[in-house]
Amino acid sequence: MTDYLQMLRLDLRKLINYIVEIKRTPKKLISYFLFLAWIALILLPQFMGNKKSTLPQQMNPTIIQAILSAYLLLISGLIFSTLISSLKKLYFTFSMGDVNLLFPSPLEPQRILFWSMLKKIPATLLGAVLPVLFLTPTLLRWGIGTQGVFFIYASFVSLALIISPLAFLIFLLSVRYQKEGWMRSVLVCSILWLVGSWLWQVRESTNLVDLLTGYQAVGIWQFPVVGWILRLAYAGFNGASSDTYWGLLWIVLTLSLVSFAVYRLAKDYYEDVLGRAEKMYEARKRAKSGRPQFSEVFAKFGRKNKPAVKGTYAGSRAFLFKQIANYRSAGLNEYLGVLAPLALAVGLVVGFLVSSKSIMDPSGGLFTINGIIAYMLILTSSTSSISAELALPYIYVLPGTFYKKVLALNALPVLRFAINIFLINLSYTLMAKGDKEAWVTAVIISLMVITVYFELGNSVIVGNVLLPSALDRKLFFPLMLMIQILVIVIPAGVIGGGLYLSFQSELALALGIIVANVGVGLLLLRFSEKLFSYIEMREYT
Amino acid sequence: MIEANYAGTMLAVQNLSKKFGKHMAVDRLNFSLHSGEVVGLLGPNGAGKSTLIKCIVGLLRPTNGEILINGHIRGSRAARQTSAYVPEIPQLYDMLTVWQHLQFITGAYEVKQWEEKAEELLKMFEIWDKKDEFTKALSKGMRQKLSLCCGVVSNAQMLFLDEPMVGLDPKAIKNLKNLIQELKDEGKTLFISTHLLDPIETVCNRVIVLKKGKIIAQGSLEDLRHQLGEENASLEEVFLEVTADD
Repeated sequence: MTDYLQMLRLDLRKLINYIVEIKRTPKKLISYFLFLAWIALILLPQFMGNKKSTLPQQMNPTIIQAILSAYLLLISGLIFSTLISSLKKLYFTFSMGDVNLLFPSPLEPQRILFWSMLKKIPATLLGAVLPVLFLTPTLLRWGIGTQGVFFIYASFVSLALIISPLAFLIFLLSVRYQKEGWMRSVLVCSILWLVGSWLWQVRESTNLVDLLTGYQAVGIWQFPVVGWILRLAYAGFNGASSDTYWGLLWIVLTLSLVSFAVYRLAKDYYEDVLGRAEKMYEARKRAKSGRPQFSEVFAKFGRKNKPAVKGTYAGSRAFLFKQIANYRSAGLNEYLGVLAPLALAVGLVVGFLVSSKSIMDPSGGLFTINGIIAYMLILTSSTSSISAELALPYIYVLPGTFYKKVLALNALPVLRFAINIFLINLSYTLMAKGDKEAWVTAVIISLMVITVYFELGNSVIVGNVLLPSALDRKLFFPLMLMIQILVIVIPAGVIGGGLYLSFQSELALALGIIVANVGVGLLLLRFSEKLFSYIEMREYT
Repeated sequence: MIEANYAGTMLAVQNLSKKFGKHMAVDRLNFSLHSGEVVGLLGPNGAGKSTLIKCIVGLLRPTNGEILINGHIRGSRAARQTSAYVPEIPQLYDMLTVWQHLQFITGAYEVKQWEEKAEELLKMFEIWDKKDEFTKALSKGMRQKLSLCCGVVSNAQMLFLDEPMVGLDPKAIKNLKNLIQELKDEGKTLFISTHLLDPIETVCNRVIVLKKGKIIAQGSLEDLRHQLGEENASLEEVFLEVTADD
């Protein structure tokens, strides 16, 4: 019992220290306030809208079918991809503090594991609140009652709670007890069973809507974990039945059994969790230093061990060498990364859907796709090749001017981004059977998005000068976003608008925007050269 | 079982191997440490020093072989109660203060009346004024000092120190050397992996030299000098000689 008491004390101390930390660094409150304000801004209009409507809107049954089908695909994808990865790797997370202090201590390893699984429960319950909170007003407006919201929440929580111990069990059986072949067969058979059940259910369907009802197959409904989680979500929309409560009971029983099995089987497991703990530690370090996270994930695909880069890259061009070596090791070559085929596929699929379903005109689709891309660009603009370099010493100490270093660093990312944008827009236009006007729009809109990317890439340095501390940049992220948007929109609006008024042509407007973006991008680059002497390398501040 | 053969020793390692995929990091090692001994673990980078220590303290599973700490099987509660580990990289709990780390360790090792000793250690390593700081606010050297304090304050009979001098300033290295001598005088057993040879030259009873996962030399400095036929050689010279490629 003293072991659990020790761990409880440790976690309570950590929890109290988070509060103490806020007292010591009151400006952290700003970020919490902004976060709460953001949630309130999203929720309030929906709740207010809900009060105004006298009758809840009845939800279209087809939409419910679509939501539940998509939900089933999502949870199955998540569960099976996690379990298949668990055949070789473990994803259970401990901190490096645990590894260095808790593991070598006299506390029993099994108790440490059990405590770790136990404390994930409240964290998961809290973590699942947020998505449900966002969904609640919409669900209430659709006429889904409090009980329905509860079951949807229960479905999310069940998924989050069960996946980690289940993956641990699969890992133990596969790696520690060397039953990988057997476990793989079980997983593959399960997937085939689920797919087969779906197809059998819809064997007589004649249209797309009927295909969606495949999730109601008995083989899926009764299937362990996936079926039970689905039953809870189904109850959210259609009301609870005895099936729902049985599902809930099975989940609780399975969770208890799986956790008990892990507790009993996970002997001498420390080595298995070391790799994951180190990875998480590195990821946190990367996040603190402002280095991009997603690029590391994508870099895993197609990683080559010995990329050959010939030639001499003197002075600032050394950064170009680094980029070429980096991209060659992680993609097809320095121009085409793993996102290129993905961009092509997205363009082809969306184009095909637009053309076959006549959802919108081809130009409308272009604006939607590029709008989403531009939105994502702005949201992720705080991390780039430059921000990653600013956390390392080389950009400060290697010979060359800062202006040239930035150009050397940005040249390939801009080029690769341009290729991806053209791939997505042109393949879309091709599949959507766009007319001449659509092709011109595709080219123009691609150039607009590419120049925004160029502009944002050069604005990072200004952000680092205005807010040198990484914490400040995090706190004032929304403010920086607004400034960035203004820097992009005002010159583009003035020049583009001016040209439009002069020539009464949309083409002139677009060209004006492109010219403004390039101009502001170059100005920011020039400005960065002047500002560079004010920047200092900050490791963990 | 090796218990009978190694009765009375603090650490007994027999036929220990550790493989990572196809790479043999530690290859059929046999050695023992007696109670009260200070033994230096030397070897070039990648020799398997950290892997060996991690296997002993239970962070890695040996592929083959047996390890007993004070007669207890590696990884057992009794073995952990007897030993403490200071890792190569001082990764601690970011959200605990310096003092709370010591509180946690002494709680886990069930050490009573530890406060005076803890204060003495923190003052010796000149981080007493940081005792209420979160460790995330400490420099790497300060975290290393705290990590050492955590190891010592546990009052364990056997200490495994993996590169304990990395990141320490010269004064702290000198203090650590004195501390090792003090622990030796108290009868504690220390197994120290290091690349810094000067500080341990005078405090180690003997050294074990690893290369490519195998023990290539072991014994007291005098023994090794004698084996090499160089009676006045320093530990550094002995190390360079025994690890030189054929």
